[in-house]
Amino acid sequence: MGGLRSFLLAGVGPARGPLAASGLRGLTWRLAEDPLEADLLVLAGLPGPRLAAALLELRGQLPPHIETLWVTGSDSDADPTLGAALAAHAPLRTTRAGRAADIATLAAAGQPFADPIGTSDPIPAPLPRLVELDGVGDLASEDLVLSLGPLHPALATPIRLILALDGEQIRDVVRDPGYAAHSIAPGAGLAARLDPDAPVAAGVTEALLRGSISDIYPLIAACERERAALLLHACARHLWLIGMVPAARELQIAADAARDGQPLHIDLRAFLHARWLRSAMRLRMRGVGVIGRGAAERAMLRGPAGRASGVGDDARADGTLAAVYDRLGGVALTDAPVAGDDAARFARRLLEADRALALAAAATRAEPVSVAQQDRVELEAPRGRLIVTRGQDKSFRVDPPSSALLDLLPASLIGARYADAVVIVDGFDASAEEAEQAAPQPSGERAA
Amino acid sequence: MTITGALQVVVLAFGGAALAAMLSSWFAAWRGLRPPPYRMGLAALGAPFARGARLLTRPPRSLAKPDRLLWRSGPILAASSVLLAYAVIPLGPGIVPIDLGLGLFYFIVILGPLMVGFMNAGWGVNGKFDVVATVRAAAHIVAYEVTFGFAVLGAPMMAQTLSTVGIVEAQQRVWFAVLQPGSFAIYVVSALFIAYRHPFDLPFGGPEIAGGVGREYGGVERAIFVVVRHALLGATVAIGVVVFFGGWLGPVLPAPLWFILKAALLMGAFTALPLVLPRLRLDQMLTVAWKGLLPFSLANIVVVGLTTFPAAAFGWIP
Repeated sequence: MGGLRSFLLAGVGPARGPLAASGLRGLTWRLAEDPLEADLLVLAGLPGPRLAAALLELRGQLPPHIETLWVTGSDSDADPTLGAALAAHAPLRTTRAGRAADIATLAAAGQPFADPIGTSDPIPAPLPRLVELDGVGDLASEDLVLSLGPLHPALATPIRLILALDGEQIRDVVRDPGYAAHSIAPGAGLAARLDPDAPVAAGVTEALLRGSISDIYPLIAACERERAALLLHACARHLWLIGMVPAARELQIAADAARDGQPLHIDLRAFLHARWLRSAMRLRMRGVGVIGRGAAERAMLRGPAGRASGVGDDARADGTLAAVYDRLGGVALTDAPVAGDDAARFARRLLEADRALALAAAATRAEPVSVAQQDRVELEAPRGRLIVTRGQDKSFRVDPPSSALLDLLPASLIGARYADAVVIVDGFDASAEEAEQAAPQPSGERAA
Repeated sequence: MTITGALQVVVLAFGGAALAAMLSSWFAAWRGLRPPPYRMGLAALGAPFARGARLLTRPPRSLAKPDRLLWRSGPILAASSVLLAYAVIPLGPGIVPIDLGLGLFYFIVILGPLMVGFMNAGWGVNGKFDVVATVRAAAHIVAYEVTFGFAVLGAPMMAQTLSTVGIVEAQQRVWFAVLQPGSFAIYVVSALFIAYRHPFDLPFGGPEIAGGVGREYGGVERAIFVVVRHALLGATVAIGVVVFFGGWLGPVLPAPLWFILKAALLMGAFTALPLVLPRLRLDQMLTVAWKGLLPFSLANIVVVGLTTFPAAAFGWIP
């Protein structure tokens, strides 16, 4: 491994990307800041067809000494066509799971990656750009048209936003879905159609639809830890995007601890009320991406984003498991802001993470309670109320919370400053993968 | 300038860049982005050079439709500008590449082409993100040049000379940082502006512009760009040491060592302290510059002028 000193990670999917990144970082491989500085192109997960085309374009522009490592999440992620296309440009290796041990095994199995230092392979000529999207031609010609995504740190899952700018102001937005992986393989379970970021919540939903659960509290504890971890991860990513890297790192450590069931090293409420963080929120988050309560209610916005706008929707209070949560002391937060702006969404997530950890702790101490099989399940997933209904033909109708988030996103961006676009997009924390798997949308959907 | 002076300039510029790179690496490690230097042992000292060597071995990037003249001229102009700025930095008595009578004025003026280099680099790519970054960088530079000039203007008012050597010698008794705290505060903010350091690094660090100016360079040009940005911080810190901290003046230790020590401390503060601040938007940066720093610096000039008389009466300045 001596020659391998950096790599580029093309993470696809919110869970797979960070998972593979942490696995590779465990091997002390470093992330390259630029594809040409990389020794290795790492692809994690299965890209959707449009993202696959973009990746192939990138692969085609890299010299052949940069090998490709494809870290797949499962067998259903294997795509021989894409594999063959990638292998046509440079040596391709594949491994499963994206965990450090698997990658270490791959690396230790021999055949070390090529040491490219000193090589000077000719660079292929750039390929033609991807086909222009429908609807982009309608954008005013005097505006500067820029693309945000499909892969961007602010985007939880691949989606492309095409922005028309007048100076620093966003005048129009076209949402371009179709980049996320459609992992609905024949025979795949219901959980495969739900948010891949929240496998525990997805598993509990499927379990309730398929049978009864004798003791729900261990599962609730796991769900709440998962919620806390995801909310903290979203907050960490938000701080990182506005350049507050040390603070982001603190929250990411807290997110990892929450996921592992370990005690947190910081007090989240004290963290939120620290003067320097309040100043930062006032500078970059307050008044940004405001969604009023009326707009949020009309769009049926749910989850932390909806509650930050004053929508009192929480499936833990009135959903399938409301009675179970009641015994834990309730879920309501009385001191969380409801201004509907980015600062309110950030603060809300942080406070809800704190509350989720308290609920998880209470659930581990609670007496066992059984829950019967359901025909309709309404659970509070980390991004909001998840509704799954059993159909007559053994199919399931899924109503994911990210759909409303994605619907509101373009309208929130129009009129905002371009420098705030990343903050707004990240603050929404919408999962395109979740929304697209549940209800595929037409390409090039234009902002209302 | 003599050959020895030219060599001094090169050594100073690369030394400043290396110091800035090492401190950046140190704080990057603290932020968990790279292996910490204490794990690397003595190799940490060579890390910036290793990264430089790595950049040099990389192939250059080919672009679809660049304006080749502008694109290629970017790193050359930027590097020339920063290199020449080091020409008036005195490391010790008699250890100055060239002691110009207008040294401080020269330092401010010679950094002008740096912006032209950055703009060429951004505009020449013929890419959309680069255009946005270029316009931001241009607005940025116009905003800081005025305030930086006013921030360091207090020093020649008290020292009665624009020579950098003369300014240092005028601080035999009291540093100008003590006599002109307002000027020093303006200098700190302006220097962060000049060096494009966090939280004023939007033209280079905004996540919405995919890396900003210079992102498309590869190989040698990329290496030059990286070194220029680090050397720029070194230059702004060095002039700060000259203007506000008495340059090489200090007891016991050799003069150059004092200078390096002060520069390292100031650079460490510049690198570490702003990390608790969020990256400002362009409009916020311009507001800080035009609505905050400029009126404050104008008022500060009056204050410095009034302070000059009692300072001279007490013998704090010549």
